Amino acid sequence: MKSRWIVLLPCLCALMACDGRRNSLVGQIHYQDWLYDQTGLTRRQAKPVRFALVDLLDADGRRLASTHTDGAGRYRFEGDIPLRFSLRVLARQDGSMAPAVTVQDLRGDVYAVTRNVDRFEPVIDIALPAEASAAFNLFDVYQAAGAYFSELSGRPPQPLMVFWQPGNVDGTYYCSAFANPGCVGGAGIYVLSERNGESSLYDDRDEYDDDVLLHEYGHFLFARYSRDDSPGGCHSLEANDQDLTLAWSEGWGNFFSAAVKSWMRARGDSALSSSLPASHYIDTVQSASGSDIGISFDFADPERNLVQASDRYFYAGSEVAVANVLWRLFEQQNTLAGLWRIFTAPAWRERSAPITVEALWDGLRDPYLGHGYSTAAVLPIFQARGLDYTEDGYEPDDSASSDRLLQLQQIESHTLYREAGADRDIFAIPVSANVRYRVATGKLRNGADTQMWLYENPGLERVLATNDNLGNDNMLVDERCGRRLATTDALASAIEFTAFQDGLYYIAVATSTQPFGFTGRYGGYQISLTRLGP
Amino acid sequence: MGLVLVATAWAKPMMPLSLVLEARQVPVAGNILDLVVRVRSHLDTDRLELRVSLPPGAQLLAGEQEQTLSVRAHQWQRVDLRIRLPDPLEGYIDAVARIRQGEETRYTAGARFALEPTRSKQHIAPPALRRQRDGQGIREFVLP
Repeated sequence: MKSRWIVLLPCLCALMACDGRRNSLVGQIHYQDWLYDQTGLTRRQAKPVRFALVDLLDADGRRLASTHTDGAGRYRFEGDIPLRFSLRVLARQDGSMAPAVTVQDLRGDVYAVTRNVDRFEPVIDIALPAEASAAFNLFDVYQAAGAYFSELSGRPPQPLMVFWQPGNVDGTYYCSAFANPGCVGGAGIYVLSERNGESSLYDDRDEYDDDVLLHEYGHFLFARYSRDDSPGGCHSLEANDQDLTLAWSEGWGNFFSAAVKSWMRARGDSALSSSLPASHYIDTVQSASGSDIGISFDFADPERNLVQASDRYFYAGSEVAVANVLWRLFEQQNTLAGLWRIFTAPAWRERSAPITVEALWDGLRDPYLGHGYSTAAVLPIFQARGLDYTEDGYEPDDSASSDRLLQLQQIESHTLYREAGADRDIFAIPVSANVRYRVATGKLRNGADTQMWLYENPGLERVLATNDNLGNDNMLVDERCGRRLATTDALASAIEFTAFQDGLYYIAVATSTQPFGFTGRYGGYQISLTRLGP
Repeated sequence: MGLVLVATAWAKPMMPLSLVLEARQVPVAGNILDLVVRVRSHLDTDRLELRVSLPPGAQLLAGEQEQTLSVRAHQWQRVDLRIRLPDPLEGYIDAVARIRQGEETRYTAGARFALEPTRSKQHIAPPALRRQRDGQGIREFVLP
């Protein structure tokens, strides 16, 4: 028995001065994450609090020293440690050793957990309680996303502010700046956390929905490092007629979530909370009896999500189509690096047209951006989602020719796309004197916004009539969200006229010269000629 | 000229299912309730499963508690139920709508109708830990 004390005492004194004061302090900090799958949140799992600020406080709450946890949640203080002290871990990283992230409530108070210590313990581990763990999951998810960005870009991300608190019912979104209401804390990611209690069957809380959280980080990156023309606001996976800038931005967010998870999986990152394919997006809801699925959607295989065959996940107005295209491009190179070169190139940031999936296509066609993609290899990926950025079979038809006839009752399908520049399709229409006709575009695809001109001779010198949009602005509003619709026949064009003489008139169709900010330069349309009378 | 900052909020995808429970008549003598369930999906589907659960003691007089609906995108679908309510009046009517693909749920929405009109809202549970603000911008949980 005696010999044991002889061995132990020097060991204890190495940690603790013989007057009871210790000269180093070590431990590990964990929070309780939730794992999830296509049934909802499944079970809790302890995960390290990585790269978080840890304060050492004296008995009066004065800060004595600070450090950060490492990638395994371990912390260490060296020096004179008092007998009674507190350890406080904060959901904050200042950027000195990892991406700068702060998680706070809607008042701007940073989340922290404090443990008071008043007796000797050789190692002080801290297990964060469930109530505080949500804030630290937010912190950890955004650490992972920031680390991905750092590897992608070779530089640390700009500081991110995250706003969350139980009972926040305003939604999950990224704000680019201060606004009241909705963005009262300024720029940052705001996270939904409904707590309706007994008044609702399901609450939607996103603090453990990593896929939703990463979607918002995608918005953060685009706002800070690229360019995003989307008006934001509500949007739907199921719509294929959304504002093209909105569909692009949200498709990017959907994809980015998958890209981060794919990268984490490749690294064997234990912070990953789902074993589903990286492209599978999950948004859970909670009820008194447990967790359930709100949205379960695989962007790699959108039709798998369909109960009935449909073109719902096609075209430039579909955020699912955008996400799918990005995912398949990502799979070709197994990295986001090539795409990121496009998104951060001056040609992207200074583009005169809106940022939509068309900008991605244009970027991929620019070999000087160093993205490593070949147009031939990526074209099928776009076409598989109905994104037809090819010349139609009638090209070249950009000058008047009596051979290029549009006959009565004939319907032709065209794209507004030329390899060499802006497309203009010119049709000769055979007419009879004193007969009234209607020539119209319709079945617009991929955000096409046509304009039409009528001429009476092949020189196209004198415009007899022109029409841009058939519909008024009210027809361009999405009733679900109050947002603009990009693929609607309100953007089509039509001219009715009475011919003065027998012979040929000429119709030109091109992208509108006064486009809305949410439509495409390209896209497809159908054109038809109808005899109205007599 | 000053710099104008415009805030834009980019949000997560909307839940594509909406579900609303409405009482068409306030419970009257005999405790009969005509309940309307309205459900709307963002997509066309013939696999919208609707399940309504009643509290103990309640009795379904007309309508179906479980059914699979065929719905067109963005159009509200209405389901009518007539229910004899329990006495005393307590508990909840819950409705859950799901769109399934095979065995997997793709989307879920739920709604709850409380049968106790005078019941006051309560907190789910008081926080187990003492929480304090230290006056320095920290929302702190103190471990026991």
